[in-house]
Amino acid sequence: MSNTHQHEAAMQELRKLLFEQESARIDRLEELLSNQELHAQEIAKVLAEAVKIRSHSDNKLGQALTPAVEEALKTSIARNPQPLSDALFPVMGPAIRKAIQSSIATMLQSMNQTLEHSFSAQGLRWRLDAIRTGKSFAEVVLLNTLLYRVEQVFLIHKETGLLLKHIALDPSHHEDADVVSSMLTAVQDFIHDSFSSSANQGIESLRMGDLQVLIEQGPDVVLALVCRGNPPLPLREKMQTTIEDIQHDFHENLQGFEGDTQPFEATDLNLSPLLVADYESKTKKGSPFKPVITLGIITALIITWVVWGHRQQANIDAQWQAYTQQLMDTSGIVITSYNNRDDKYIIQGLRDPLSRDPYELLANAKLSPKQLELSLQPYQSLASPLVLKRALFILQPPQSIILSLQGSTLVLNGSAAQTWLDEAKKTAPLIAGISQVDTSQLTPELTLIERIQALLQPTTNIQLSLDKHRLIVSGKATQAWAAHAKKNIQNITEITQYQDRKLTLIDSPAYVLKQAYKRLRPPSTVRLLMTKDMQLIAKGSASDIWMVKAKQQAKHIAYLKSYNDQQVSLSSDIILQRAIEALQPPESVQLSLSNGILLATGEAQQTWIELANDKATSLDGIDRFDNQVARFIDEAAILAAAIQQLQPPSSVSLSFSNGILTATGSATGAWISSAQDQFVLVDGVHSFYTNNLKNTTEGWTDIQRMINQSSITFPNSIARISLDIQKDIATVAAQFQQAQRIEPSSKLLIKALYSNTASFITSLRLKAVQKALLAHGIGNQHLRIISHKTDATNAAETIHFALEVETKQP
Amino acid sequence: MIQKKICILGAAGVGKTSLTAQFVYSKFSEKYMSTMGVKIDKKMLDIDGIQVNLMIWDIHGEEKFKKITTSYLRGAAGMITVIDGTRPETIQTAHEILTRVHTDIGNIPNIFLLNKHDLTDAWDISEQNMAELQKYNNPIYTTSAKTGEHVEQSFHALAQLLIS
Repeated sequence: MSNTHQHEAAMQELRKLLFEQESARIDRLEELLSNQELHAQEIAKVLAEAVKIRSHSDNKLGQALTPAVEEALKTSIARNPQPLSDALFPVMGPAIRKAIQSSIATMLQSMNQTLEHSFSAQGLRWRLDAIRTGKSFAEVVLLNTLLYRVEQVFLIHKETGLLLKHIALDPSHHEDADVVSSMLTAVQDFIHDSFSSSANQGIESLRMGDLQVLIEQGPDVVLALVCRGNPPLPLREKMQTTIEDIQHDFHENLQGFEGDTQPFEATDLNLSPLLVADYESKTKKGSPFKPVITLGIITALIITWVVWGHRQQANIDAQWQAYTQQLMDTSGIVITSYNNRDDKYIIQGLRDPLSRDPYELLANAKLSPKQLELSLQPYQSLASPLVLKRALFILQPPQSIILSLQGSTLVLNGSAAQTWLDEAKKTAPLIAGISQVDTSQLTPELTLIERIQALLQPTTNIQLSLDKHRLIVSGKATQAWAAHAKKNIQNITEITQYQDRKLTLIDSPAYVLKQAYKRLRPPSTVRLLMTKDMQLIAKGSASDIWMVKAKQQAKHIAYLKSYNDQQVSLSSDIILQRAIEALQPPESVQLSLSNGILLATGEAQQTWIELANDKATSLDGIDRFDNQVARFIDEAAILAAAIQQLQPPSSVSLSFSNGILTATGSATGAWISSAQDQFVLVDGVHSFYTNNLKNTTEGWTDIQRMINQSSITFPNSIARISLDIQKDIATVAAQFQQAQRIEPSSKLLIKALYSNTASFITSLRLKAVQKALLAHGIGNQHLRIISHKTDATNAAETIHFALEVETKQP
Repeated sequence: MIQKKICILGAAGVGKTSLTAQFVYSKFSEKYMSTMGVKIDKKMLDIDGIQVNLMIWDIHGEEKFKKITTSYLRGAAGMITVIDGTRPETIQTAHEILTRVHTDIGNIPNIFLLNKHDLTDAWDISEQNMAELQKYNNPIYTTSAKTGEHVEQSFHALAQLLIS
C-alpha cells in the first residue's frame, strides 16, 4: 500500500517534469470550456466568420435560424413595434410610395382617357355601350382603348398538368384555376396527339375573340398567360425569361414534385410582372386640339344662341316702337311716355273716346296684349275728323243731310225737317271744336212721299199712299223689295205705321204655285206642290199629252226654278183604253185596271188567252196581267173533231159533254180497241166511255155470257181449293183465253162479297183463285178483282166471274 | 395542400362519368367527353388532416380515343378502373387497360370499382372473375353510381393510397 502510494507520487512528479507546460494548457482549456462566459467570448471572436463561411456553403444556417428569428421578431413587435418600424421604414416607405404612385398613375390614365373621349362621336357611342352593358364609362373607354392586358397567369406542372401557381387581375378567377389548368393541359395533349406533332412542338397560343392564351413551355413547367387584346412579341420573351428563372430557382422542387404546391407560392414574384397592360393612349396620343375644337363648337353654339336671342328681342322692341308710333299718329291719341320694364311695355297718355281703339291696333300689329300696360286718360280732341265724328254722334242727322267742317264751322248740305234743323243749329255750337253752323247750302225739303219714293224706289207695279203718318203699300213686289222697304221706312221718322197687307209678293212660293195652277191647268187627278227653294212638284196621274204640255208651260212661270213630274203617272182610263186597243178582247172577255194590275175575266179562245199573256205586260202603265179568262169550249166542234179522229161505224153513236166522250151501240172489238187508243188525240176530251158499247165480234158475246154465268162456291170457313173448284177454274180460264184471242184487251172480273166476319178467309180464297189462274197462264194484268163487305151471311162462300173489255181512263 | 392527378378508366358504358358525377364538382360539361375524350373535375378531400385536391381525369372508354388516352394518362398519380358488374366482358377491357398503363406509365396505385351493383338481378360477376381481379392485389369495391354505394369510400381509399 505504501509502495503504491509512493509510486503514484513519483509518477506525479515525473509528469510534472515532463508535461508541466501541456498540463497548464489543458487546465486553461478546461477552464475555457467549463466557464460559459469565457466560452462565449471565444465563440464571439469567430462567430461572424463562421456564419459567413456556413452561409456560403449551404442554406442550413438560414433554416436553423428562421424559427428563432421569427420568434424574436414577434417578441420585438409585441414589446415595442417602433424600432422594427423604424428599421423597415427605409425599405417599406419607397415600396408603399411606389404602389400609391402606380395606383394614381392608373387612375389618371383612366381619367385622361375618359376625358379624351368624352366629347367625341366615339365617346358618345361608348357612353351608349356603357348604358347598355351596365359598365362604367371609364371601364368601357379602357376596354376600347386597350391594346392588350394580361389578366391571368398560370404556372402549370408540365407532366401532371397540376397547377403550381395562379395569379389574376380579378381574384374571382382563382376559383377554378386548377381545373382550367388541367383542361389546358388536356387540350394541349389532345391537339398534340390529334395532329401528330413532334414531341418538341407545343401549342403556342389559343385564341377566342379578343381573348388569347399565350403558352410557353419549359422543361418542367408550362407558363400560360390569358391576355385580352394583342400582346406584343416582347411579352413572349418575358415569358421565356420567367420560365428560365423559375426552372432555375425551383429546380429541386420541380424535380421532386409529388403534388405539394406550397413551395411554388414564392413564384409570385416571378409571375406578377407578367400582369401587364398597354393602352392606346400610350402609343397613340390623341389630338390635343380635339377638346379645343369641341369646346370651340360649343362656344360658337352658345354665342349663336345669345345673338339670335338678342335679335329676336330687338325685333320685338322694334315692333313695339312701331306700335307706339302708330298710336302717336292716330287722331285723338296723345302719348306722353313709353318705356319697357320687366318684359312689359308701359304706354301712358290721353285718348279721345271717339278715336280708334288702341287694342284693335295692337291686334293688327300681332303683339301680345299681356305685354302691354296701357294707361290713357280721356280727353276731347279738337282734330277735325274727331270734331266731325262728335257732331255726327250728337246731332244724329237724317240721311238727306251731309255734314262737313270748315275750320270751326259746321256746314250742312242737303235737306232735312225743320224741327231737326232748328235743334241742330241750337246744339252744334255747344260741341267742342264747333263755333258756328253754316246752313247756306241746304236745299228745300222734299215732300214726304217724294222722300219715301226716293228712299224705297218702288217699281211701277207698286203703289205707295200716305194716310197721315201711315204708309200703305200695295201692288206686286218681290220679297227682297218688301223687306228692303219695311226696313228703310224706319229712317223716315214721320212714318209711324207701315202697312203692306195688299202687297203681293210675286216671288213667294204661294204666289208662284198659284201661277202654276193657272198656267198648267192640271186635271183633278194631279196635285201641284211648291217647295221653299221654288221647285214645282206634280203628283198623281194624267194623260201623257197633259204631261208634255205642263212641262213646256212650267218654263214660263216666273221665279220658278224647276219642275218635277216624276211622280205623275199615266191615268188608269188611258192605260185601260190602250190595253183594249192592243189586246182586242172578244166580247166574252172583260178588262179592268187597278193599281197597275190588268185583270181579264170571262171566257175566250185559247189563242186569245195566249196572245193576251204575251202582250199585256209590255204595255205602258201595266205592271202585272191577271188573266182569269176561262177557255171557251165548243162541244159541237170537239165532237166533230172526235168523229173525225175515231171514224166510228154507223152502228156507233158518239156524244160529248163536260170533257167525256161516250160511245153507244155496237162495234167490233178491233174498233173499240183502236178508239180507246186514239181518243186522247182529240183536243178537249179527257175521258172515253165504252161501257154501253156492245162488242159484235163473232163468238166473243157467247164467251162473255158463259163466263158471266160462272161462279165458285166454297164450303164454310175453308179457303182451300178442292178438285171440283179447280175444274171450275180451269173451265173459266179456258173460256177467258178464247175471249182474249178474239179481243186482246179482255179482262176477267173476279167479284167476291164477304160478311163482316169473313174478310180474312175471303182474301185467302181470292189469292188461291189467283194462284190457280196463274197456273193457266192468266196473270194479274188480265184480272180485275173486286171484293166488298155485304150483310148477306152466306155471300162469302161464292166468287163470281165476268168478262169485260178494258175501258181506258185518262 | 397536396394535388394529385388521377385517371378513371374502363370500357364504354361502365358508368365512369356517372360515378364521377356522384362524387365531384363539375365545371366542364359532358360534351368535352365526347369531343376530346376527357373531362376533368376536381374533388378536395381531407385525408388524416391533409388537404388533398384530386384532379380527376375521366377518360372516354371508346376505341377511337385510345391513342389520345396515353397522353391523358401521363403524370397520373393513381387510377380507378371501372367494371360493369352486369357485363363480365368489361373485365377483359380492364385487364387490357391495366396492361397498357403499366407499359406506358408504369405501376401506379389502382382500385377496381365493380359498378352497377344496384342491378342485383343482372349482376353477373363470378367467383372466377373476382379471383382474376384479386391477382392484381388492388382494392376492389362494389359501387353504384345510382345509389351512391361505396363511391365516396372508394375515392377516399385511393387518395389514402396516394399520400401514404
